[in-house]
Amino acid sequence: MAMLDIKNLTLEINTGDSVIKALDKVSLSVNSGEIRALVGESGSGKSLIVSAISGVLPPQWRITADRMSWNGDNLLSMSVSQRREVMRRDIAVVFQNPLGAMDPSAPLGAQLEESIPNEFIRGTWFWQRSQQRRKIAISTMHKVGIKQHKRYIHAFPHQVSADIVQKFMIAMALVSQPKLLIADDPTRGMEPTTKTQVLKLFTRLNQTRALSILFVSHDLLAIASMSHSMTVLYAGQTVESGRMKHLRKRPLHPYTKALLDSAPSFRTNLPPKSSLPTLDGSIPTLQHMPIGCRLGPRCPRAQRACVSTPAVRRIHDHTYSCHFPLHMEKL
Amino acid sequence: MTDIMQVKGLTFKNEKKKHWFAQPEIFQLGPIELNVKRGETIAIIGENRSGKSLLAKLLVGAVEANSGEIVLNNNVYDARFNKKASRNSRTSDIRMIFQHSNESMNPALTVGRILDEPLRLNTGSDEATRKAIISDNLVKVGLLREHYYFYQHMLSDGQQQRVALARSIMLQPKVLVADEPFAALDPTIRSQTVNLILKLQQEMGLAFVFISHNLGIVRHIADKLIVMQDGNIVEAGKTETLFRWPQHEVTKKLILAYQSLVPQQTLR
Repeated sequence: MAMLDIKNLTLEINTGDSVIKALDKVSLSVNSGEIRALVGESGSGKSLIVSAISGVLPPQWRITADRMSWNGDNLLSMSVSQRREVMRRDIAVVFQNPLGAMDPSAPLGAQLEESIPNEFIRGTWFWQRSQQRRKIAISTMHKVGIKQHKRYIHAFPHQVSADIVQKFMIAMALVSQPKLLIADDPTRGMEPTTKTQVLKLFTRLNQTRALSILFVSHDLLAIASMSHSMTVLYAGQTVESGRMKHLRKRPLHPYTKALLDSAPSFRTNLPPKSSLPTLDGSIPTLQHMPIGCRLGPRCPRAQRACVSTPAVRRIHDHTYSCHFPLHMEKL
Repeated sequence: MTDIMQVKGLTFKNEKKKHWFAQPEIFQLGPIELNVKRGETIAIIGENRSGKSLLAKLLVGAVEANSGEIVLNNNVYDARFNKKASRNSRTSDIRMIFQHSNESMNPALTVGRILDEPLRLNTGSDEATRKAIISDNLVKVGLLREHYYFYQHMLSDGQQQRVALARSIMLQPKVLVADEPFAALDPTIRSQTVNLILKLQQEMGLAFVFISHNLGIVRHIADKLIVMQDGNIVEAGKTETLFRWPQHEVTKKLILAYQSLVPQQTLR
């Protein structure tokens, strides 16, 4: 049973003279106890999906979806207070750009303490309660790998390095013991050792507490090491989704293949210094989206039929949308 | 092959006193010895605050070193960088690519003006020849001649990275230094840039010194690897050797962290 279930999510932005479809029929589901990776390049709408789930998009943008539900409750028709309740206790979000997402005028420790739900705190008197808050905050900091808690608990976000702030962001998300963690590029700019540390923490939480994770990133190496299933996004369209194992072994969509090829770590038979296979061109801007399959102009297998949007096809639990997938011979 | 660049005893010392009575915080880099061959790619890895970026800045001369010298093509440059005469040829022999190409370019200038700047300041050539050189280099990095008249905001990330690359090869450098050139790029654009750099290296015989956290790419393109910790080189050697038999603690930690991410089938 899927916890978070999104079907055909479309996001339209009215620019005055035209309507831009920033997300075009995106489908995504996260089962309980699953780590689902959401992969795509910048500008493919990964972060828009995260914002749409957490409900922080500007009200003038039109969101439509066939289905967008959390444990069976429709997120789109919820009242503000209900939605806030879900976001407070069940879903936690680690936003991109931690420095921008933190309050610059409050110390990091205070922000972390603030995000501890009241139910977790026992004690009758205010000093007992504040002591306990501090205790929970420090143990969470240790859990995410901040060892020198004395040094950082009174520091302001601008005083410490970006990866510590990032860890605080993760700590703030985890402290309310959510059921689903949405991590928007949580390991960006981290050095390898810290990155593995954070990824191991996620995997451990997933195994011990059955925490579901929606892992949004374009770091394929990190994704491949931990996630169970993957959804690939290109320019606001879901391109392919399925079990990580299957996708890695046999990608069906040309874009997934290009993405996998671009990471040299996946391939041992690649001679050093050889040129990497890649797609020409770059991601189209929102104002100039190609019609039909949006990969069209960059796709090596594109043909005339690609000007119409391909339907979603399914082989077991592996879905893809392409007219000429890789397992079919070129016509 | 002979060494194109030799760095001897490069040191940098930063003493910062936070308070009157407090012990000054001392960060010392080096002394660093480094030999770079023609057409060679050297990767610098290490943890944060190990002095990787500082080393890159010292090499190009963006930060003044305290002592040491750089031998480039039989010219000896003082790394303290105080002689005006040596400054000019050094700036044209060692060039740098910055991490965020979109933030390192002036948004108010056209691409042509941006690329013209190093030529105008460092060579005495007239406008017509400068323009010819610029359009040559634009084609070399895979852009069009028309991009001369474009502004930065009209270009995509990948194209901006190409412009940054064009700016760094404008003066026919011998050595290219880059501080995390691939970190801010998307996977497909990243492969494009890697391919482009490999191509330029073959064509121009550039030596390429770069800092990266992405060990997959390091393993793919680097010939030699330098591991840094607290301002010192703790291990250096061939990439493949270091990946297979890391000796120093830091190297082991970094390589292990990377190997634990790499899927198991590909290790065999």
